[in-house]
Amino acid sequence: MTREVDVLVVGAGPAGTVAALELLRQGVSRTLLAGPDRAEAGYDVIVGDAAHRALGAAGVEPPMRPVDAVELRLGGHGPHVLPDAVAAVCDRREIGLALTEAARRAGVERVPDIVTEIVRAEDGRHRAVAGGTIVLARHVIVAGGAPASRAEGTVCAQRLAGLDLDSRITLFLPEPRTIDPAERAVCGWLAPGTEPGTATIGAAGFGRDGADRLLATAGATLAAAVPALAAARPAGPRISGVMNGSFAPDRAVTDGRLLAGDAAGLVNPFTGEGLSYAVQSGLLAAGAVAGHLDDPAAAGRSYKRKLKRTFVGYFETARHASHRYHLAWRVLVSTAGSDRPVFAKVRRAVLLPEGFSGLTAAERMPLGAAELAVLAPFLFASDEVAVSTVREDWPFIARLLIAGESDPQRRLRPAVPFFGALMAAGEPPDIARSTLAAAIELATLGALTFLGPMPARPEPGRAVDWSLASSVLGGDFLLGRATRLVADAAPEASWSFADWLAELSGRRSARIHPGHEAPAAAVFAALLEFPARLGGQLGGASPVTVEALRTYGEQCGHVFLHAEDLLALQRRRTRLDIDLRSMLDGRLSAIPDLIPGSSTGLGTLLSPTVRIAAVEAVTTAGQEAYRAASAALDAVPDATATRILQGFLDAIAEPLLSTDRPFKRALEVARSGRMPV
Amino acid sequence: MTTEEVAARLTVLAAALPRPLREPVRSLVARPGKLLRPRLLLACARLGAPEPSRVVRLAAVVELLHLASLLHDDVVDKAGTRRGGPAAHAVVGAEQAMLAGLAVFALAGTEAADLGAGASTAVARAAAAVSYGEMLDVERAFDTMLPIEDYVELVERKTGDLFRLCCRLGATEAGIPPQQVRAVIRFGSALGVAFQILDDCLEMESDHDPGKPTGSDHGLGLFGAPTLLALRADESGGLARLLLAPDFGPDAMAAVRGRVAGLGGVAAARGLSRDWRARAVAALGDVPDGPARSELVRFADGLVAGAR
Repeated sequence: MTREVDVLVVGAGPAGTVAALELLRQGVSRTLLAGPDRAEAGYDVIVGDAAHRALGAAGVEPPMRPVDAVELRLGGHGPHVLPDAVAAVCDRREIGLALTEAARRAGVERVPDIVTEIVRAEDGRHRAVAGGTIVLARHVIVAGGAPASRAEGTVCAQRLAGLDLDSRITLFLPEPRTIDPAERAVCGWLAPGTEPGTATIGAAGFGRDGADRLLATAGATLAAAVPALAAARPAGPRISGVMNGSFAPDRAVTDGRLLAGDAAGLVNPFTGEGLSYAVQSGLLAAGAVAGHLDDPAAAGRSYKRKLKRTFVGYFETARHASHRYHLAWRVLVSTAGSDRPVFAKVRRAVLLPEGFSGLTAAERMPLGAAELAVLAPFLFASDEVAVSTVREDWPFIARLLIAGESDPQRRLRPAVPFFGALMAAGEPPDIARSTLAAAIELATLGALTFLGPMPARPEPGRAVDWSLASSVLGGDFLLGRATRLVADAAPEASWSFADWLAELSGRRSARIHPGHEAPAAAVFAALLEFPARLGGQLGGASPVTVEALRTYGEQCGHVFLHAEDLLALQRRRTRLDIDLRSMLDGRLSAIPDLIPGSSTGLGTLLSPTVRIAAVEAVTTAGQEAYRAASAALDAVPDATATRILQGFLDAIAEPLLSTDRPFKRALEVARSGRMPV
Repeated sequence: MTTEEVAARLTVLAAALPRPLREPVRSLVARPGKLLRPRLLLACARLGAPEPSRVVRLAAVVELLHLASLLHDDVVDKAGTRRGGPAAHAVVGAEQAMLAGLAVFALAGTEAADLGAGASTAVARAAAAVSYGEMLDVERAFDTMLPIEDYVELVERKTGDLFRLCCRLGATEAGIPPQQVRAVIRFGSALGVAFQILDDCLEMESDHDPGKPTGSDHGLGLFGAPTLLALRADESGGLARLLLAPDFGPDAMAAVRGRVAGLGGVAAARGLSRDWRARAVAALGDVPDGPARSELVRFADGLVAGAR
């Protein structure tokens, strides 16, 4: 029998089924899904936020158990808890059933056979053999799992019974055993099961170690962290799969076929996690095909572009790839005890399914459609520049810049005040200015690497101090790239840009100098004053407006820091991803400036009275700064610009503005007498 | 257009830094070393008729870039001494030393911008390349299999691009034709590689510059050209084991020196350095003969003879 279709999707796993569902949703009704139901053994997989959202949107709703945190154990360092890191755990078999069910409900046409052959027919279509069916398709999406021929490592898992874990996942990355850069990392994890009393242990590693060895290693290392593991017993078969981390956007289209998920080699090289990538790449492939139904070549190009944009960082085909992985491993492990903001960001960005944008906060800017319409293309262009500036040479840093984010145009980021200020005088900003926005964001990230508690000096030995080295090298790299962007795209801003860096180093140095102790807020004021001032100047604003924009930027810096202190006092996740202790140790917090006379170390802040005073002081100071920044916007003539700048301000000030909540929450914390960190 | 004028300019610039950052930079500027990079820039400028005050300022800019990388390198390498005195981080702490490096980098940026868009762009590009080279250098730590080609690539970034910048700025100020400027730039790039490889050779000799503790780079797994070339020739694998020993110390360094020399690593590296020096001088073929060109050749010979 011969079938003619628009799209053949090979493989009925997560990537394939999601792709078929999405094609149907976008109106591509002549879609055929080919592949058998695989009788998945029972074990639980980790479902990240993006996968959770995408599965839900596609109507795939297996029973899941929510997970509220990931506990990282990197090298010998104690647990490091990342809140809001992943969404849930779910039985792999249940995901399979839910996928099949969703496809059936939606009316996806399916043949349950393995596709054994795909060739090009004379008319350019693909001719595939699936059991007794010959399929002629204009487009093919291959989502059939990792080809064994390209095995580079192993990822494996096994369900355990006899232990009750709380709702967090433990992720373990051991210290390198040697100083030899040829050594490859092995990552282990332990996740609570969807069934009470069960759990799943997993491990992943590049290299020749098989599942037995990997799981034994993971079990031994995790046992030290999770005593309950000693009583656990296997409750399912050992699942083992091939890990193929050879993904590169340019290789994700071969002979006109779009590869998705494991078939494309999309897997987190540290954790072996692949579900999120499978689902996301399935959606992207479907979108690319639906958008170019009549032009397969264009669909392929579009897919590659989408992949490049979404999967940044792990997968760059640098000549130095093995060095890069090794460096990232060393840095992750050696900075595990460090709460410098940049390391906290890197941990999230590299190890978690969705990654995390380096400069962002949970709050989204409350902007209207009109503002977003002008802002979004600009931010998009800025991201493209920033990522392409670093991705080849230091891909893991690129992960900090974008990583599968939803809603990127509403993110809090320094490019926003720059953009708002650029259009303050009423002229719509030139899109070419987005290069400068990228430079500002790279430099802000670079400046962040110089901020925070200094890492403890490691014991003397011959090893490189990776923690300090990566701060210095990462910072220099980002600032070097940012400076080059400015020189190339806006030489007229070179002086101001360098002067900004001078200002930042001077203010920070004065802050940490014993006996000098300039206010903490000065550093943050300088960080945001510059984008606002430069935007105003380049956009042709009047001197009065530029002055107002400077005030706005400085006060935004104050608002940011006070909100940061408040979040830390409330034990909520801060934008810099660090806690109160690190805010104080790193001389970042403004609390010691606001409550003079007392030595506001962490010890003092344990007292409920001081704590309440601190909450009041940061809230008052933050609200004052908010009013000052708002008032400054009166001098901005353009209404859209004003709304964008106000939206940015409102979003950073959000924790400070819901006046009841901070007090209530702080009082609760204070009265409970628990440790604040 | 003398190195004294450049040193004086550096003193003035350092004095204008904000207070906590000023001291570490001032003490480094007060021990100026050989001012190799400014000297190279001045020599290139003499190929024509430049405006002396601009040349002196540009020479100070390239030295600032070099100082910024020294301040940061010493933090990364945990080096205790620099130019015969204590390293900045040993005096003011790692955090202030990092900020001092950043401030000096920024100062190079404002100075360069003052001198025009051309200088500013050239400085920014070189700075970006050098910081990338430093990353390449550190991320290959303990790699005993590093191909010599990769090593040369990192040296081209880490050392060559700053030499190249000196030549670009000097030759541009000289006002010589673009084709000659390009020739001088190629000269600088190759000279930087020749210089760095020879510097590696000197580390393998026991009586080298006392300003730097012996074998410190090998202790950090940053093996230079002689060692990498010797590793290639070592079929026994003994040298690699020695280099990766956890208790690597001065005694082990002495053994490494012996092995590397025995395997012909030093001789091969010296040969490689000579090749790059020859490549540098050959690039000057496009520059008309004269005293300024001869000075550049002498500069190359002096550099490669003495190094460090």
